[in-house]
Amino acid sequence: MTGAGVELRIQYPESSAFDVFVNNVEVQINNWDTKIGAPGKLTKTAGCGENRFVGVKNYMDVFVTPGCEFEIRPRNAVLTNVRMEWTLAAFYADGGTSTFADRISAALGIHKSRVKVVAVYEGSVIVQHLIMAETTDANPKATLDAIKKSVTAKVLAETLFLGGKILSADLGPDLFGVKTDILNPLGLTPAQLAGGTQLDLTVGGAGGVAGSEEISMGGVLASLALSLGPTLLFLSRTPAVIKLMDDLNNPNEEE
Amino acid sequence: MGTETAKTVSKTENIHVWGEDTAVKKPYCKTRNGFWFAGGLGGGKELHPKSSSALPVYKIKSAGVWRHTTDFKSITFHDFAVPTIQGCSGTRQYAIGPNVGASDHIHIQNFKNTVFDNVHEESMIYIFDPPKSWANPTDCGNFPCTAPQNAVVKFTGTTYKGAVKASFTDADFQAVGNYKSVMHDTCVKKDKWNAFFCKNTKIGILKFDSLDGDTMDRSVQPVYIKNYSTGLVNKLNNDMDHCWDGVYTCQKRRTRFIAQVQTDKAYTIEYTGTPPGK
Repeated sequence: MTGAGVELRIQYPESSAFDVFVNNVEVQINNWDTKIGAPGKLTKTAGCGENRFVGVKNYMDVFVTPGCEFEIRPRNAVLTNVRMEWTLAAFYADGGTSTFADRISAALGIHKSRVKVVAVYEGSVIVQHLIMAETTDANPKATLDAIKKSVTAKVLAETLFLGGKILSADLGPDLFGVKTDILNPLGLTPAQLAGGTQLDLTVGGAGGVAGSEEISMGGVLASLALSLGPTLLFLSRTPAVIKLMDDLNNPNEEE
Repeated sequence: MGTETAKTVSKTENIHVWGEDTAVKKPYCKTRNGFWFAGGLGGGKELHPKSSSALPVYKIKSAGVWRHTTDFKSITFHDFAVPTIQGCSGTRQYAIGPNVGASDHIHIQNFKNTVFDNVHEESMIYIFDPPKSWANPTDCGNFPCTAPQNAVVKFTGTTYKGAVKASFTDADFQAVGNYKSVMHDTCVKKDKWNAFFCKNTKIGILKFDSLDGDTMDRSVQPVYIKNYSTGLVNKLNNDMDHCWDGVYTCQKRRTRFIAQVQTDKAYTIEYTGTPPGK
């Protein structure tokens, strides 16, 4: 038996943190359902505002009854993905999302309520979660920047204990929609990682010819200069650019 | 006239509206409605306008408000016995219909104990499609605003009398705007109404808007309301730009959407822009 009301699904382009309020009272997200690796489906019996957000697929489900008004309020949060060498069965046997949130909050020194798991799926075990700033935080950007630094440092130092060995971790997509693995920021393939690829990150490094798979920052810059140089030279000689440069250099000059 | 916060009501009670079913010497040859839907709007007009810019008085120049209800009791429509106006080719008369400028938010129109006296079924109601002329950069953008096709009119306690009657005798029914792809349970299309006739008390209106700071500036439309089980695809536009800054419109349109829904169904909302944060 379900209550009368509309089940709404709102599609979002990426995982985000939201709270749902009815009459200025927050309606808690549905409890985790281990079978589907997401917050439980709407029961339609919990009243107006019953909700869940499903990560990876990035949608929010909200139940709204006739005459009811609800409000969705965004939370400032860091979207984090962690892939662990584990099995889903072992993950849930170890306490699942609740224990995971406990461990994240303990490691970062924050309250557990600020950690929201939005998706758990196989591969080995990937947990997508949001680490949120307090709603009363006067400077949430600084708080979230500090959280990002802390997560990055702990992952690199292998001191972030989440139950299984961390194989990869990222802090969500950047402005260009690209996720960067904290443990493999250059995105090397497993073969490259296993093959002992030499990296020379010294700009203009002299040792940049140690092997065919070697990446040299000096070499990258040189390649960029060689490829962009002729283009820039050509553009700088076109009449429009010459006039633009002239206008910039002599802004007050009348034509 | 309504407000964004307080509940306002449009009330009409015990009035009689007559159509024209006999030939007259000099007929007024224009398609007409006996009764226009009432709207809860952000701004009204003086009863006696003092400037020509306020004319015609019926022209809507503000967006619909969030909260508003309508309450029309015991309205009797007489003598809309023929759909056309005699002596005027191509013109029609309808007892009920939306204001010709109702672009943004047609609140649910509640008609209680309405009497159709000598009213032809084809003349009972007509809900026009959003005119293509609304699709321009100064009004609704690249497609018309979508209020008329999401209009919901509810009749309860309706009675029928006179020589000309509708083919149905339902006391309770609904007429809803014509969106192309689907209808609610029990609804049937009535071409002459350009609307659906329904016997479904679960039909309602879903409204949602952006509370972000850029709600008047950033466009996220079209927004699609989809029901994957029925195949419904309702393409929504937001409010018309009603503001004028000298001779130009202000390029300010509230990000608010109105959609007819059935209140026991599941719908997916898909924005074509980044969804509002709140």
